[in-house]
Amino acid sequence: MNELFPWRRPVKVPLPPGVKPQLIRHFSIGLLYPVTEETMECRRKAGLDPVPPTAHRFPDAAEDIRTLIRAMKVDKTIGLDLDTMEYLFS
Amino acid sequence: MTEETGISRQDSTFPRYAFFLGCVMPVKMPWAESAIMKSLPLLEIDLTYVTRSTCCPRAGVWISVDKRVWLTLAAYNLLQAEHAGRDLMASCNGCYVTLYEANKTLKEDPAELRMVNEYLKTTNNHYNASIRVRHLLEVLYEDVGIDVIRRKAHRIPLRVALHPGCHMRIFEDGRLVRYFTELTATLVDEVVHYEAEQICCGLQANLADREFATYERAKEKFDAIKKLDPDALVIVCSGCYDQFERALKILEKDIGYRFDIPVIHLAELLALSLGIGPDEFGMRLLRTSPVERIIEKWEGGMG
Repeated sequence: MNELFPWRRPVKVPLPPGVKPQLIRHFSIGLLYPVTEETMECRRKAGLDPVPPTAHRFPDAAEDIRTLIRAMKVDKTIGLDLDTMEYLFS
Repeated sequence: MTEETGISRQDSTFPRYAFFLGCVMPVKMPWAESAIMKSLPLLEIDLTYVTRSTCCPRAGVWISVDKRVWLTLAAYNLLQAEHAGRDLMASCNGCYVTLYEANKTLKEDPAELRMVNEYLKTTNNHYNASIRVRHLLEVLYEDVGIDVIRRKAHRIPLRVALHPGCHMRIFEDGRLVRYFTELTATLVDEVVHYEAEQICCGLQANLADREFATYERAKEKFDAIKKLDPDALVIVCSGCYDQFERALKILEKDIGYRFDIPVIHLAELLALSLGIGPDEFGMRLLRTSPVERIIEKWEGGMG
């Protein structure tokens, strides 16, 4: 293909459809699942802090992840706008 | 003296670990997190959390898309434990494999470590690759020791089945599966085995084909386990638990399928056997099926 279309470049890395929403959550909150009111209530009853000491409690850690993704330019290759959290390609 | 580490227990103070929670456990399995945090100190493990942790991330996705992402985001989690001056402990097999393999790569390949640190510099961070990544099973079996657990724990009159999960077979000698089986057998009356024990939960397949993952993987296991009617299905992997929970919801909605055997974490058995009451670690909360039968048998055994 390269010989026939030397200027053609892949515009995105193929991602399984199931992964796409997961990556939005990963890059938004740092983890794949959010903490809900129900989660907090159950954690309290289990003798834990309602918000775990993960990026859920430290949102700057999620900001670090976005910084790293931008530094590697992976947002460009997978076609995800990290400001709007929308995919540029269907 | 443990064969694998060569560390004698009397040579050191309590082993110090930072517990990596991952994505699933803090949100869907608070009973497992609480059981681990309450049980391990009773076994002389100095345990804190890996704070500021993010998704491990999933090696199965990122190695095929962009290896730099896998190594850099894993290093971001590893350096949080390094900053705390502790080795990292994981319970989820998926998180363990991701972090163990990334750490091994970064320890063995200076060029990869340099590359990762160039990216980490953008967040004012640095990783020295100075820590170890250990599985909960290694900590229990090698650091604590099965004899100590046997002495301290009260055996629970339960009959359980096991789901080790694929990534528990990371080492060629299969030691993690052996630890899992022996530890469980120490805590309960009987471990029952079934043909589909080694079948995958379907988590990875779920990304490509949800029907296959649900019907040809998870349901295959559930069907085989139901025939044995154990009191519980014991796991340690949060990824497998997440897949089982998802598959059970789909199966119930699609075909009215029921799996009334509770899926529990090994640490819950450990907590109960150490005398920690079920409500102290939230055992009844957020379950796929009720755990009353387990609690009744535990109460009977304690009485």
